[in-house]
Amino acid sequence: MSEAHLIARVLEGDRLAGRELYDAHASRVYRLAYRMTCDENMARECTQDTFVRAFSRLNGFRQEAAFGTWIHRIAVSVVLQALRSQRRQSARFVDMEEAREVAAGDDGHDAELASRLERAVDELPEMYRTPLIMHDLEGYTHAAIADALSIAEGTSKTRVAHARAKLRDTLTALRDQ
Amino acid sequence: MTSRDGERTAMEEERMNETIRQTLAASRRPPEPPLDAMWLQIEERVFGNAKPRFVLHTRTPRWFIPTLAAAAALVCGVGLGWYAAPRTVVTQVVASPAAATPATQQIASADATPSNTENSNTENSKSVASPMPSRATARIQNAHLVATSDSRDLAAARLASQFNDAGGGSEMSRYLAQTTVLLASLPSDRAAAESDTAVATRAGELLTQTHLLLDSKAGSDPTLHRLLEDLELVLAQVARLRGQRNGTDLQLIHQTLTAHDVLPRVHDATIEASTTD
Repeated sequence: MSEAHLIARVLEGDRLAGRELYDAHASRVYRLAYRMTCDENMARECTQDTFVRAFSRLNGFRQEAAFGTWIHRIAVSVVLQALRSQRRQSARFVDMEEAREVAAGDDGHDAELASRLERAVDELPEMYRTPLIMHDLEGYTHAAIADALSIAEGTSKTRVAHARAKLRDTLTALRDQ
Repeated sequence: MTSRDGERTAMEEERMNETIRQTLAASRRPPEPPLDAMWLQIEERVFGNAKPRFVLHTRTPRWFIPTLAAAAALVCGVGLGWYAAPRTVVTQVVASPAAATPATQQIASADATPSNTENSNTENSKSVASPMPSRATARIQNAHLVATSDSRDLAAARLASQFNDAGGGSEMSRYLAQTTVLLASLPSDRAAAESDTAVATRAGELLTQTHLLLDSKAGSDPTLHRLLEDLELVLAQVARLRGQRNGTDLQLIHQTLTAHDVLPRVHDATIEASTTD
C-alpha cells in the first residue's frame, strides 16, 4: 500500500494505517532523537510528540516531499524544542558518563577520549551540533539536513565541517597531553 | 577553521574525523526503541481511547447530503404550508340530491349548519354501528364532496393545472408530506373538540387535492393510485370529525390506517416523489 494511500486512510481515522506509517519511520526518528538528546526518556517523548504532531497536521501535508523527509523535519524541530525548553544539561552529562562506560568498557584511554569528545559535542553551538549528529552519526544527506533545518545545502556542509574542526582540536589536545 | 588545520594533511583530518565518528557512534548508541509502548501513547493521543480493531469507513455517502437537503426542504415546506394555509376557507360539504346515498347524506349532515347537529348525531350513530365503509362506498361519498365557494374552485383549478403541467412531482411531495403531518397529528380520544374541527377542516382540503391527484397524470401510476384511493378513504373519515364524534370514529380511522399500511406507504411515496422532483 502506498504512503499516499496510508495517509488518506489515517485522515479517515484508520489507526492501523497510522501504525503502518509509524512502523516505517519510528525507529529512525527515535535513533535521531536519542543521538541528539542522549536521554532515553527524552528520545521516547520526542518520538511520540513527533508522530502526534505529524498525524494531527496530516491535513496540511501536501505530499510535495516524501513523508519520511517531512516527519524528520518535525522530529528535528521537536527535539531542538525539547532541548531548549528542558535544559537537562547536567543530567545529560551524567548520562554521557554512563554511556561512555558502556561504550568503552575498561579501556581507560578510550573512556577518556569518548568523555572528552562527548563534552566537546555538547559544547558545540546547536547550529553546528545538529548537522554533525545528523550527518556523521545518522547518515542523513546534506540535502535532507538542509530540508529539515530549513537551511541551504551548502550551509549544512559548512556547519558540519566547522563542527568537525572543533572536535579535531579537542582530539589533538587530548593526544598532546 | 583553526590555525592547526593548516598543518594537517587532508588524510590525517579524515582519519581523525573517522575516529571521532566511531567514538561518538559508540558512546551515543541508541537502545532498542520501545515501539509498541510509544505507539500506545501516540494512538491514544491521536485516535482517542476507543480501540476498534477493524475500522469502519465512515465517509459520508454521496447520496446522503442531497437527500438530507431534500428532506430538510421538505420539512420546511411542510411547516410553512401548514402554518401558511388559509384557515378561513371552510369546506362546505353538500350532498347531491340526485345521487345521494344514506352514507353521503350522513357526511353532508355532519358538515352542515349547527341546526342539523341533532340529525347528524343520530345518523352518525347509525354509520358507526355499521362496519368500516368499503372503499367503493367511500369513493361514492367522496365524489359528492365539492367545494362550493368561488375561491375554492379557483384554487382547485389552479392546483389541477399545476399537477398536470409539472407532472405533479413537487405538488405530490407537498401533498404527501402534508397528509403525513395530518395523519400523525390525529387527535386522541380525549382531545378537545376544537382540535377535531381543525383536523377535519384540513382533511377536507387534502381530500380535494386527493381527487385532483387521482385524475392527474401523477395519479396514473398504479401503486400511487391505490395509495391515493386509500388516503381518500381515510381523509373522508377524518373530515367527518367535527367535535361531535362517537368514540369509535378514531378507532375506525386507525383501523383503516393499519389495515392498509397507509403511513409506511405514504412515507415510501414521499421519498419517491422527493427524489423525482
